[in-house]
Amino acid sequence: MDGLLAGIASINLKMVIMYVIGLVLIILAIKKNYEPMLLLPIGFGAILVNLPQSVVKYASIASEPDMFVTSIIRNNPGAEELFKHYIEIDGLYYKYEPGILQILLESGILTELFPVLIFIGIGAMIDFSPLFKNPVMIFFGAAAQFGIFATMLVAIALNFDLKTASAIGIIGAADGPTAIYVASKFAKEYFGPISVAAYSYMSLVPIIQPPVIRLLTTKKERLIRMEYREEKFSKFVLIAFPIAVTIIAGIVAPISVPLVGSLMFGNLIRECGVLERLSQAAQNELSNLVTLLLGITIGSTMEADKFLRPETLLILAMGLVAFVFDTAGGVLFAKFLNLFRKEGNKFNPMIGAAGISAFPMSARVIQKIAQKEDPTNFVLMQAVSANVSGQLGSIVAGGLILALVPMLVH
Amino acid sequence: MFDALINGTDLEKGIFVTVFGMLGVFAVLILFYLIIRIFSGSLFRKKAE
Repeated sequence: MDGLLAGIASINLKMVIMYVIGLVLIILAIKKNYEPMLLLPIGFGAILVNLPQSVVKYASIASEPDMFVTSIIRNNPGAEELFKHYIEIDGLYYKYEPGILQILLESGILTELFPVLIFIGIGAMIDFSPLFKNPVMIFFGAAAQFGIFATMLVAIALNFDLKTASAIGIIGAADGPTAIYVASKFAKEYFGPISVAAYSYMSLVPIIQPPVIRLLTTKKERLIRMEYREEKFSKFVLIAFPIAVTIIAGIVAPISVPLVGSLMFGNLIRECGVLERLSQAAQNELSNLVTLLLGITIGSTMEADKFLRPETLLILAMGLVAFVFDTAGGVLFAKFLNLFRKEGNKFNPMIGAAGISAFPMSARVIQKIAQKEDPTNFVLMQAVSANVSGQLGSIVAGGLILALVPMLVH
Repeated sequence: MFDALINGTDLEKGIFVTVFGMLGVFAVLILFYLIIRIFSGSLFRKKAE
């Protein structure tokens, strides 16, 4: 009876707000079909972790504070990083036994295991053939990463430190696993809002991109047709590409190897032709299982005290800014390239917007706009090429940020 | 110069990361582009033409 009363007595307004946020995410997933595979587990995780005396996060908490640890942390700001499994309550530090969601967070996200496993699945799903037919499209995958860096500068202007700002900027990668990977290294404190923003905005690509594209292009530009060559590639090309990309990434940006390597490993499994069962397992069972655990674990980082603060709203707003800058970067780069291309050989600048990593949603959005302007215009394959390049570009950008930022921070 | 940057403001560091980050992304993707063209033979085919 005491336990029941303690549960009811410890509910506060912040917890109730988090239940509402969790329910909103679940409703968006079910009713609007916005990234349901992630938003539903995230929403449910947010509710779970904010239940009174949430044992899914903290299996048990010591009844007395550890005064030794408390005094060390008080006298050495930042020392809390050294003490695992201590929770601060009213300025005092208590030892706790981790619950299931905390165990998943520590073993799956803080070790970067989940993002890496997800990338194996994504790699097994990606077909690079459209990119081989239009290799020049790879540059849109680079240009559309502009949003990451522009948003990072905006975040710095809003008084976030460099590490946190770069983790916020990476929302613009439109690439959930990369955002999680960078946030887990640079901004553990804001992990929840960054992950939620990364996945929420990905699902909003069909709403965010069209107005930006229309604003930056003329009707004449949107009507541009692009030639597409049907070509077959040898098995050698498809197999050698992931191996070569991994080696180059390893030499140029070693820190990006866990992400690039796992993406390319998944792709190699797909293309080698002798591991069909493993390829199917990576695309289905592995991806589904890790996505399930990833979603609920991200939700578990949405504790009311950490999530309900002004910075969360700022991060969510900057996530939107990042997607707008990404789209603008890609479109403007295509328009810039068109200055040097002959009439009849110009890019449809909308293709540039597909250089973000949200695959294949962004490519579909571009095709939809193109067909709305001219029902006989097909730019889907070119958009897919740019979209696949965006996947590569976002990982490289994430790797470079992970390499550059620590060099500049004391 | 790099020491001065390390002691600089976050905005200066951010601009540095932006410039070298974008250059880096383009540089790496240019390498990937060359790989694709070499592997798919289109670089050599064009030369032969």
